[in-house]
Parts: sequence; C-alpha cells; structure tokens
Amino acid sequence: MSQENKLDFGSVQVHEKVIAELICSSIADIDGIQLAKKTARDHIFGFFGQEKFPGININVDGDGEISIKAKVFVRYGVNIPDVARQAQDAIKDAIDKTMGTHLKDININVLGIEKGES
Amino acid sequence: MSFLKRVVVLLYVTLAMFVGWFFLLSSFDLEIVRNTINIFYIIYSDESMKFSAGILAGIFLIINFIFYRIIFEGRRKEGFIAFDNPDGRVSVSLSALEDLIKRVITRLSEVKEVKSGMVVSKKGLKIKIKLIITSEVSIPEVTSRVQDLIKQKIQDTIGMDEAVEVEIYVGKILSEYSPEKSLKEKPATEESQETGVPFQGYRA
Repeated sequence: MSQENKLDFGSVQVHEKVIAELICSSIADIDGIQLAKKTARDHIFGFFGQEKFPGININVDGDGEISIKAKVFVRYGVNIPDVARQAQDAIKDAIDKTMGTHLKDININVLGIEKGES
Repeated sequence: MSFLKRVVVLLYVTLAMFVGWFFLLSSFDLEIVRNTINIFYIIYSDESMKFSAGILAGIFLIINFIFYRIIFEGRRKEGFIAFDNPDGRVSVSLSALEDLIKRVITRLSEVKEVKSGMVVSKKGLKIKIKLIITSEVSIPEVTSRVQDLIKQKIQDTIGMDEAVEVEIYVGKILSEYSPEKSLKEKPATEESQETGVPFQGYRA
C-alpha cells in the first residue's frame, strides 16, 4: 500500500513503510509513551514474509485520505488524554511537514501500562 | 475476520468435514474403516513411521497452541474505553486500566494481593476488586481508601467524567506472623549484640 501524489512530471508514491517510520520517530520523542512491541502474531507474519510495523495500522481510502491507528503503551503515572494528544499532534506535524498530506484520523489505542516504576 | 482466524476456521472446517465424511462413508462401507486401521497398524509397526507421526503430531499441537494464544490474546484486548480528540479517537484498553489499578493498590502496605475486573456500561465504569489484606487493619478504612485511590487515579489518568463505581470483595485476611520472617530476623539481632561492644578486650 502506498500514498500517491500527482505532480506535473509524473507521480510520487510514498510507501506505507515510510509513513510508519515517521510515526515511530515522532512517538519516540514523546516522554511517557511508546509503540507496542511485536506480538506472537507479528512474529508469525514476519516469518512468512509479511513484515508489519508493530503497533501501526495505516489505511488509505479511495479519496487518498490517510487514517492511522497507533497501538501504544504508556508509562505509569502519565495523564493518558494529554500524552495521546501530544502523540496525535506529533504524528500530524511529522506527516504534514514531510509529505504535505492531511491526515483524516489519528487513532491512538492504549493497550497497557509499561512495566517499571514511575 | 483476520487472515489468521480464517486459516484456523478453514483448518477446523476441513478437519470436521474429513471426520464427518469418514464416519458417513464407513456407515455404508466397512472397507474404509479397515483401510484406516491398516494405515494406523503400518505406522505402529514401523519405527521410522512412528517417529514421523510423532513429529507431525507435535507440530500440530504447537500450531494449535499458537492459534489458541493468538485468538485468546485478541479476545482479551477487546474491551476499550474511548474518547474523541479533534485529531481522532483515543481508546484505552481495559486491561491497561486493570494494570493501573493493581499498581495503585499494591502500593498500600495493608494489601497483599489484588485481582480486578471491569465492566463498562452506559451508566459508567464498574470496577470489581478482590483483595487479600493483612490482619489488624480496619477493613472499612482500608476499603474506603482503596475506593478513593482508584477513583482518583482513574480520573487523573484518563480524565473520565462518567461515574466510577468500585465494588470491593475482601477474600482473605492474612496473619501478620510469618515463620520465615521471624527466622530471618533472629541472626540479625544476634549480630547486633556481638557488635555492640567492639573494643571489649582493648588495653592501652
């Protein structure tokens, strides 16, 4: 799956992997939140050659609008709405700055609280 | 339905069809049963075939276990509490909230063990807590503190405005006395007595 932009001289396609990497790096900069690690399911899919970014789902609809779903873990003691908002803003800024594309939805799915003390 | 679940369903439908057809045909023709028994007899009598069948059975069991874990994990993470931000939806898994509650409660010295469950309804969030506490504590006081702590933590963490109902069940009261603890404490007191007068035999 890829995002396509039409220019005067041809089209530019951006692979899903690039968007996923942008999301990874923008979330990594935020304190108190991290993307979900690979599950048994991801390892099995990886084994059969279907490499997936753990914790990131990217959907491009018919109109070329991108929806992102990020599965994350948060640190104990952080305010989830605040940290989720920060993550949404960071992802939005990173995609906007790099690709100049408007995102339809950035859904954050908090799966758990990180191990370890606050 | 995900790809993996489809594979599992296909596998089990094929297996069920195979077993169904086998019994259906065997009710008309006993020859199939005899042939199947012969195949099993050949496997049983040949050492290498037995070994191969064992490996195949092992592989099937492992695949079954992996599928079970994947499906079970998927089901466990189904419950969410969601709220909308301008950029999209934020969903918090109930298991994450359970983790949070366990961490908050286990910090209390009076509480030895916690088990929790959650139900989300239109009325709000209902949290069921099962506690094991130490003896010589006031149960109403401890439970009231636990309820306040949970409500406060849920409000602080997810900023939930809906009602949070905390139901507590005290399952066991543990005795303060622990034989292991008293044995560990004994040598420490002997040591402190020995080191109490360090220069007993000293003469200038």
